[in-house]
Amino acid sequence: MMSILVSAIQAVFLIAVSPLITGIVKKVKALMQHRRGADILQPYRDLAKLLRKDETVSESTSFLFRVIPFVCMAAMTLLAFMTPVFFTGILAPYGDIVTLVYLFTLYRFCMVLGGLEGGSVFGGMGSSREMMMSVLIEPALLLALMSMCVLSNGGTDISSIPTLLIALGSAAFCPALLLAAASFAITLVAENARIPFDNPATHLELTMIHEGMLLEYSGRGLALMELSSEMRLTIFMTMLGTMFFPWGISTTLEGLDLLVGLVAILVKLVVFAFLLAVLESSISKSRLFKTPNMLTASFVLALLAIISLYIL
Amino acid sequence: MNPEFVVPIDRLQERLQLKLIDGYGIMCMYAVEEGKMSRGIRTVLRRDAEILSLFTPLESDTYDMIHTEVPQTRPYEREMHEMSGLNPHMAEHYGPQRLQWAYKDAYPLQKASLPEERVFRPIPDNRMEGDGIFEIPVGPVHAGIIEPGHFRFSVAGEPILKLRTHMGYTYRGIEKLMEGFTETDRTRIIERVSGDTAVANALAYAHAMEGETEVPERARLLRTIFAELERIYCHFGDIGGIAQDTGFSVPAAYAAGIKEKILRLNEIIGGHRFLMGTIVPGGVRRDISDDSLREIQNRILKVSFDIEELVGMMEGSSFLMDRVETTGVLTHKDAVEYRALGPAARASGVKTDVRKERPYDAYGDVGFRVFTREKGDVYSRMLVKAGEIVESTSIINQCLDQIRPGPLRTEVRTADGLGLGIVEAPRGELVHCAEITEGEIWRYRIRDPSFINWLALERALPGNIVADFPLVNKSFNLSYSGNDL
Repeated sequence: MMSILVSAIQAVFLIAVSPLITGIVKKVKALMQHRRGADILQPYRDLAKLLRKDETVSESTSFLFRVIPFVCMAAMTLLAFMTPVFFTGILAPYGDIVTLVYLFTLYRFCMVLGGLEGGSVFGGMGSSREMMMSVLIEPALLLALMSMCVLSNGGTDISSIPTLLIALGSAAFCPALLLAAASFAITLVAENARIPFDNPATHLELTMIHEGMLLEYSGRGLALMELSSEMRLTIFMTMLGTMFFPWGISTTLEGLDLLVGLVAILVKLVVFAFLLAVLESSISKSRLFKTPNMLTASFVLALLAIISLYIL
Repeated sequence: MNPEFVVPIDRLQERLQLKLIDGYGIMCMYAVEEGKMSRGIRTVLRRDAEILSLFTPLESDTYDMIHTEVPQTRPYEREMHEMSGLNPHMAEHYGPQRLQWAYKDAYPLQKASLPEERVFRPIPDNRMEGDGIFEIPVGPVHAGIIEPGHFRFSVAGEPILKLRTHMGYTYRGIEKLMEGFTETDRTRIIERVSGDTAVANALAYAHAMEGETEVPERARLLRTIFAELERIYCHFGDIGGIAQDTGFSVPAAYAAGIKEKILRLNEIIGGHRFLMGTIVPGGVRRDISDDSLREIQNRILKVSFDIEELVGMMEGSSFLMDRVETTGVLTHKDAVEYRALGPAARASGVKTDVRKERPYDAYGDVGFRVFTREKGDVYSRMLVKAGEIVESTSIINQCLDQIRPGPLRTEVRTADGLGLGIVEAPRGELVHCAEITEGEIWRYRIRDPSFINWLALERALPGNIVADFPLVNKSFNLSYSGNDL
């Protein structure tokens, strides 16, 4: 009973903290540019503002356009319940790695449909580019997570990965872990439409991937899309912090352990957000047709991780 | 005065072709209404410092157009159709170039009053056909704070096959306005042709009005300083824009900071961030104190370090270099054929610079280099602009060394005939032509460099991908309002 309660708190925590992480990334980027930047709480205010606003829906859309924000949000909420945050027990224990990866795919698929629904050029271009990227992201993501399964010897069960990794102790620090983490970090950047793959801060519709698909959304629909994409970033970072570097996470239900777990994940999230902002400030967006190269690199890193487990 | 020749319309094409082979370029071409002058077409050509002006009398509105044979005349013939009502049947083929609407049996530049009723001119549907070829309409409303303009891309997936630009959303009728008003008001209007070309436009207007008038030395030096300050902040904005459009935010913020500092310097020395109201026909409006001159010197010294730092920052990023190299190539052949202007032409290996070829104000007294690059890609344009910033700082320093106290303004004697103002604006050769009769302006024609370079942009784009268009566009950084007037 207690574990269910703690797991539910985990999911709510993940939803609640997501806008803050985006706020931190934006703030650090602004500071890197010698700007003061918006408050780190600004994403919350933006969401509150959008939720109050009316929606404008193009006449050429079907019911899908209105449904998609809810599907996207539902997919991300489900993922929030499936991700260990500060406690290894999770509320949706039947979900395994494959489910997790394909929930991301469901989310991306719905976004692509939403981009096409509006019938605008920019949405269509964003959608087609997103599909090109997703073909390459999916295998890399799956393989990176699979290599963690192999490393921890725990099958595809999500909650067992952190537990078993901690049980391995220092033996877990092998080349495979680092290679898989590097591969996962690249997919994190790509999947969340960050520089060098996509520019989240751009206003140039012709260059957009992720933002292009959201152009037709407004009001409540946009709020849900924004929140779900902020959650996607936080969930990815949390996965990096609990499935690849789980140290600190609580495996028991004791108060002190949980507190340590909470502090650990918060520190990890802030560090990842900072690193992401530094990365985004220090390089420019790559050529669109060069992005497959980087994603291939991610795939190869994941493949190397698995191979190294068997030959080293 | 410049020699003027009368060329009958049936000989015009042959004459222009001969002159182009001879090394002349068509600088401007426009129609003049009858009244105080006879009706006809004025063509102004230039080869270095030599100016040649041709006048072609017209009997009727229709004549055999020559732009299919002489590509350089294409924008001008479109303009003469649109603004002066020549060749009424031309409209079906081309879309609006400077004006979105048309009048029935009337044209915007006519002397008689214009009818109320006007029709919007449709954008012609001359898209490419084929399997998997789509047309993408973009604009006229763009994201961000930029001017309006409509683009039609024919694409096969990402690669662009053809681009057509359709302008005319910021038409204000400036050429028509210039026929009235007093000199003070005209200066005020001309500075607002295109916000960041205020000094160059005022300068070209002043030159067109001054004719043979001798401008005092201090005024000439101050004008040169103002013009170069404008070039510096424009180029910093452009280079920063390239960084911004590739998502490289730190150099973009850095460039924006330097640009802002120069704008503030402008405000201190000229009372206006864009230096409006500083240049008048006959000289400059107000003097600059010695303190301000020192202020300029200090800032300029820092600028030459800043540009090195900025370019170093951008060249240090392999991601950015990958974006800018080989992107948006304007070939040397196209640049010559369409007579591309300014940094865009210089980046394609065309060594053209009015400041060198036909020195005005103090440019004859200072030494500087004309920067050229061969490849014609975004990177070349960026380097040309960076190089010009360095040259501009050197020009300003030389001017500051030469400057002595003295008179600022003389009386202007405007002579009848064709008044020409040709200056090198930050975007390239800017031409003002004033047809003056009985001391008044009968026809005023402004030929902004963007008017020509929009065509160069159309040539530079095919083969690139849609996602790179904003970057290529930024590297040209053309003016919409300068095109529309």
